[in-house]
Amino acid sequence: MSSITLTPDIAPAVMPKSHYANVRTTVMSWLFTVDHKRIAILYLISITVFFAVGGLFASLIRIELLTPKGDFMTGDTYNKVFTLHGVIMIFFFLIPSVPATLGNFALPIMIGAKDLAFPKINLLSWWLYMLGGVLAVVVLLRGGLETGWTFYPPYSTTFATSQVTIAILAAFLAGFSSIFTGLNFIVTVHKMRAPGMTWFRMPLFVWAHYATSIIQILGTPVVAITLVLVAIERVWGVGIFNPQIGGDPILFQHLFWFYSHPAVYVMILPGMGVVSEVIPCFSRKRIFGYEFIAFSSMAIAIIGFLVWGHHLYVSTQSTYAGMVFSLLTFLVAVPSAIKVFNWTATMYKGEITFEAPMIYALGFIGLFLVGGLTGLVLASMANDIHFHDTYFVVAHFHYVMVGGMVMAYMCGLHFWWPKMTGRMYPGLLATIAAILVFVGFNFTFFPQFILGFLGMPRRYHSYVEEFQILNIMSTMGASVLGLGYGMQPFYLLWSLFKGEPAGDNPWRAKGLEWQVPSPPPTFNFPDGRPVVIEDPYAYTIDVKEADSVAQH
Amino acid sequence: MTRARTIGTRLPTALLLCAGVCVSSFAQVMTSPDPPKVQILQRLDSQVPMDLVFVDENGKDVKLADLTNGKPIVLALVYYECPMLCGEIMLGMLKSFNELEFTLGDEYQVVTVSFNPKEKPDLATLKKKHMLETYKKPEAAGGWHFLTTKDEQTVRALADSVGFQYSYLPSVDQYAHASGIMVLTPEGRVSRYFYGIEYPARDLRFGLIDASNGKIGSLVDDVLMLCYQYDPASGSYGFVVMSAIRIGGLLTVGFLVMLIGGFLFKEFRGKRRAKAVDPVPTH
Repeated sequence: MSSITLTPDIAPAVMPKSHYANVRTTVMSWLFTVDHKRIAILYLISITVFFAVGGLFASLIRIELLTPKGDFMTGDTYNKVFTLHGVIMIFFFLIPSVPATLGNFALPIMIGAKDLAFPKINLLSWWLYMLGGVLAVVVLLRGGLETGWTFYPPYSTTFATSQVTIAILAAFLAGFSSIFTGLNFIVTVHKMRAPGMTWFRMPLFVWAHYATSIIQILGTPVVAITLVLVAIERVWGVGIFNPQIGGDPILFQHLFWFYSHPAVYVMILPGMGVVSEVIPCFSRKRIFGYEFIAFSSMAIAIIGFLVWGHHLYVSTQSTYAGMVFSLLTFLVAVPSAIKVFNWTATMYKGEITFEAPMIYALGFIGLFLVGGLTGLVLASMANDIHFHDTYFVVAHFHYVMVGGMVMAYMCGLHFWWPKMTGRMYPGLLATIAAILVFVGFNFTFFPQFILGFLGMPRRYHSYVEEFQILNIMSTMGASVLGLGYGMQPFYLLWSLFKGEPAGDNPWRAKGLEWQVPSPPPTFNFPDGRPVVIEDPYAYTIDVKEADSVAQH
Repeated sequence: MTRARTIGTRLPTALLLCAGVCVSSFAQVMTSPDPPKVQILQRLDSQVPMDLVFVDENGKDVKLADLTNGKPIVLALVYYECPMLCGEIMLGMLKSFNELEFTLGDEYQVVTVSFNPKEKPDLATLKKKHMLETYKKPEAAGGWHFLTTKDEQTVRALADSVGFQYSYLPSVDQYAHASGIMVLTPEGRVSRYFYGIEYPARDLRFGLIDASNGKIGSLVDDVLMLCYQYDPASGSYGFVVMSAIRIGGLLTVGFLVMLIGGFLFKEFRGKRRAKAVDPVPTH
């Protein structure tokens, strides 16, 4: 049994001789591994590739929008570019990003398990993901897709001439990969916790993943089947969504958003989990309101299923239904707000340091706040009539998805990188990159709120001249953002070879994953199964004083 | 909600259609009186006057209400000497009845009414003999009634109550009429319309189960009914995606609840046992 030591390493850290990444080194040993840490690395590499491809499409969009006229590409090409940007970023980057990489790597260690409950299903989900990814690339090579990532019929079933069926199959496979990951996490959390790891000693990162997994299992099948129905209508002409042959296009929107809105929480909840780990660590304080954060994750997972109708305010949905959906949408903001308040309360009177993960975490709080509050603007039915299908919506969901989720992913990546690789990246460079990302992001997307407010519609490759200044600002911001992202592969890869050995616990963090060697051995706990005797946020500095001030 | 929306969009369309029909029939009246417009106007759930008296194939007077025996009724308005459409309607019914697992007379009744007041019971007898020759169970003859009418008003009242239009064309001595059959509940309310001359046995089966208020059919039928829903516009049953998703959703939620419930149950039972064995808790 491992003892729980709290003292940071004083002697210069050395890399362990044997760890999960070097026990076997053949390509096959990686492609067919059942070690959750290796599968996490496989995911990390794959989603990074897709992130780069999706980012490339994003930069094409921004280049086109530099000038009011559609002079860089045709309208058709533009449709394909933003569609592929959306499909790749959502299905192949955002949804798997935190759960499949950081979750896969850290979750079993955090609860004191030697692996996930079903290691082979874990491998299967990576293979399904890759198969879906390859099909996405096939779509790309065969001429692209122009339906938008939402695949709305009748466009997707009747008019679109492109690779809709293959793209649907790709999203379907990615969906099932996500279901398997969710199932694996739920069973692991129930069955694999170490002795003493009670439900309320679990790190909030684990709670967030548990809530995410429930959404994945309940919601993903619906979208998968919906997409199959689109394919059936396309291939066999069965009237499901196309009104000309007896179908109902609004039915598709209901089915699609029944999953795709909860999917937003699939993307953001794990990110919130990351931030809940990082904030206490770099504030040296126990997390404030642990139970509230844990249960707010569950509340988001449940209420998140009841808000899909807010995408259909202008799609002939009845006003009364709209009112109920509007109210529920406002309700789902409550648990999110609880988290934000608890994070800020955690920092209050903490001993805050500004390492790269903390900068990302702070960026997350600010950007998620803006993204969330503008969500309420859109959730109000009357406002939505004005904002629907404008850049306001684009800016809103990028604040949540990029400002929230991508920031959280980078935050987690920088937090657990030393654990995953055993080496430290250059802190200064990482800090600069984090600041560039934050600044660049705001310059990219804040102008889009104004553009949307002024009425610039989404999904067009040209616009009226009045909008040019703000669009130029947005494109310049995107360049800064791209620079921030672009720095990361360089210093992270550099650190793999030249970085200082990190030691077991470079952040002096409290979670179980920090009490095993970096990188961990194959079965995580070299001294056998740990026994947990305290919670993962037992940061000691001024806890009593700060807590008594904060709580009374 | 989808249903509400569908009705919401269909109502104005229907009104528009009605307006169109009125205008066009007005225009027709203004230009030429022929040919008359005959169609089936759906009067779903309207009450058929069940005390109307007709003459059956044996020449006896019968009240419609006496024919139901508490079973749903398939009603067809035809005339027996019809040279074209009626024969097709009757053959379509026969084909469907033969495919149907239900037996005529046991689970449902069939009432064929001639709207030609000149036709007499002897013609009805002939027709019945001819039709039942090819029905799978000739002994079920008692369940299929071939009625004729004593006067024009009686049959017109019946036809109006179900929205069935017909019109006599003196020039050719024939009737112009709509084609389709209806399913009535045992109490005589209009439950379903089937248009045309072919009535898929599956659709008819669901129509009868629906009209019987659950008195006929099995549990499997009840489940199937959830998936197939009647579409008044086309007069047929279609697979309803919403129901399929609902069933899938219930199964998924059931699976998840059982999985998590099972885990939690085991965990807490295990804890209680551990406490019973070892009074010092391990957590």
